[in-house]
Amino acid sequence: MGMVSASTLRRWQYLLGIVLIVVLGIHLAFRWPSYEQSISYPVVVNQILNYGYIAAIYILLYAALAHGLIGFRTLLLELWHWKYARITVDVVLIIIGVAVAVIGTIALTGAILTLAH
Amino acid sequence: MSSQQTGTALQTTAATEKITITKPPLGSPIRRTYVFKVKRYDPERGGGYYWREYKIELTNHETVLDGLIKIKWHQDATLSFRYSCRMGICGSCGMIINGVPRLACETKPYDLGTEVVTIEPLSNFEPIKDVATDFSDFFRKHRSVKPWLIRKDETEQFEKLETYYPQTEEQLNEYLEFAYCIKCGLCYSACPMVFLNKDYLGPQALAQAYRWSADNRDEGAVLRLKVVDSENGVWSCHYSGTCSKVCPKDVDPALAINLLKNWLLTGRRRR
Repeated sequence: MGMVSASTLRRWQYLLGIVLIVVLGIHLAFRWPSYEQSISYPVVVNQILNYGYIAAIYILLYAALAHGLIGFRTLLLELWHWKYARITVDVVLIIIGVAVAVIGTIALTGAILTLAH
Repeated sequence: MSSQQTGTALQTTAATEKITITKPPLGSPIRRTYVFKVKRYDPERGGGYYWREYKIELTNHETVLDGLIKIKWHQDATLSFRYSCRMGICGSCGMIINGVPRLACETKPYDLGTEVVTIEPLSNFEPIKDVATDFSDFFRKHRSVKPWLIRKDETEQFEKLETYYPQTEEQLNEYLEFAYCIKCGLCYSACPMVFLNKDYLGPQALAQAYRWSADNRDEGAVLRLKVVDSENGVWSCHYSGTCSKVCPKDVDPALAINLLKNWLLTGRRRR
């Protein structure tokens, strides 16, 4: 993140916010018209076979993670002003971000494969 | 000029707009006794800030600065404060009066409507003595945004100083409202983000970054945008708007900061 200018990071943050609204909308659209029916086993299996839906939930995972981490970074850097605050926050958040992305990808892929089979 | 001549001059009628400007009745000044409660600081005395109260009689025409000068002359010569022009131009007499950053020379105790007038040094500034504060950091930040005309051609900037750069009224209006800044530090004192982050450039420096970058004669916007595009630059501003509220010259630093943000995000200046 240190290599990226503050305005670029802010631009990503706004774009990610828009992406999140769109994919969250798609995700919620699949719960329509009946929420109870949409989470029943055969319907969920059917949804998982839809590539568009799979793409939406992967994007939801990564966009929510990145948006959350950039927002958290902004908060931390406003409250923390010591000499190495920026590099410390960036390194810690990148490590957390990569770890959560890997764990999230494994968990989501595992769940999809299990349901698909 | 005689009083008769003055009266004639004031009773001028502008025929085109049909507005008659008449001399207001002078009347006798309204005298009131005020208690000036001053937050003082003496580095040689130690022990931090302490309060002192002074009783002073002032008319409805006199300002807080007049009151402080009277106190210094007649009651306490050790009282320190900074002033120069006494007419809201130099920006030297900024202080917190009744909890709000104001210019002492433009604030009348009568208009404040309180019997007790509290006077404190500007917040977000290091104290020197009493109400006089240290502006070093403030001006260091001001200089960091390169508040002067920058030309790509160095001979143009440093040698051909007689060169005239014509400017239309529209071009002037792009930055004029931000050019009225008198560097009094009231906006900087009122800013909650400066209080939170001492490295934040502050509203004054950022407004000046916009003022010079929006000037069509200037070619240094890229340099300034690099300075303000950081966590300690425009992105620290959360638009509380206090800077614009307290500005004695109606400069709107909050607007300038948002125009800079817009410029950084879209890559072009829009107004």
